[in-house]
Amino acid sequence: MATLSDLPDTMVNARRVGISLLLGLIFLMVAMLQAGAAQTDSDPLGTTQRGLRLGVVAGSEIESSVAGGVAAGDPVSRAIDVLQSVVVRFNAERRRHGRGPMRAVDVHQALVEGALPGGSGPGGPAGRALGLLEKQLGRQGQGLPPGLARKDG
Amino acid sequence: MAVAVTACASGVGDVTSSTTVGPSTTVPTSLPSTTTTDPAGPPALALFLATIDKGLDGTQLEGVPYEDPEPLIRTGVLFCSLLDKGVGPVDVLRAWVAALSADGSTPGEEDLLLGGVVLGAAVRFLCPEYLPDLEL
Repeated sequence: MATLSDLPDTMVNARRVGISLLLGLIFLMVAMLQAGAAQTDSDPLGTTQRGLRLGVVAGSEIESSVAGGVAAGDPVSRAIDVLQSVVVRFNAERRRHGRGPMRAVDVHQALVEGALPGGSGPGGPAGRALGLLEKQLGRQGQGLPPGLARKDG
Repeated sequence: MAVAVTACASGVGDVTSSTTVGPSTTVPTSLPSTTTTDPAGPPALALFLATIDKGLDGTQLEGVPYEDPEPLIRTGVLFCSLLDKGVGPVDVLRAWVAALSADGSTPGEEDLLLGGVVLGAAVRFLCPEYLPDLEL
């Protein structure tokens, strides 16, 4: 019975290349299907709820991680640095307008109050969603987005 | 109804008092210091941002909280204000989905996740009084 070894080398190589190409094509199609599935979502609310769980769990982990203090390079340390850079940027802007610097806690307070202009926002749809929600709610926080019912009490 | 944004976390950072801003928004007048040696712990906003980044671990949005924190803080505060108005957490998420879908497009998975993660982080560190309301 003929085996691979009986075939000319060029034919064996051609078969191997063909099989490799076929496998590559299959992997590529699977990857494209997965990418397509990642871009759209058949259960949007379920995905946000999954995000909610991720956020709460991540919060617990972050809280535990700072129980022994914050070390340089930790996520919380990075966040502190980011907030400091916001303060520096904000005070540089104040200086340009001839005003004195504000304390970090006051700048943070202004951030919480929404008194500071925000950055460009999470890119794409998320940024637009934030903008839309803010528009619906108004700067003073009154009103609710359409369709949202108040809970009793 | 007043909007109480209590920027504190259980055991990590305290708000010393609060004040009313405008007709319906109550905000804390003092946030924890950003000093890492502060015995009160890291500021709630830092914990909030770090939590979002951890929640988005492995997504393309990882790192966004450190690159552009202000909009995420605004979103978290906005979500807390909705909760304070009596909107349930699921309806807050519905509002996020609706806003993402407002232009008729199908929301992307990571943008949907972001809304949930921000709500979770906000409830955890900006308005923890609503933590019992979360059905996880």
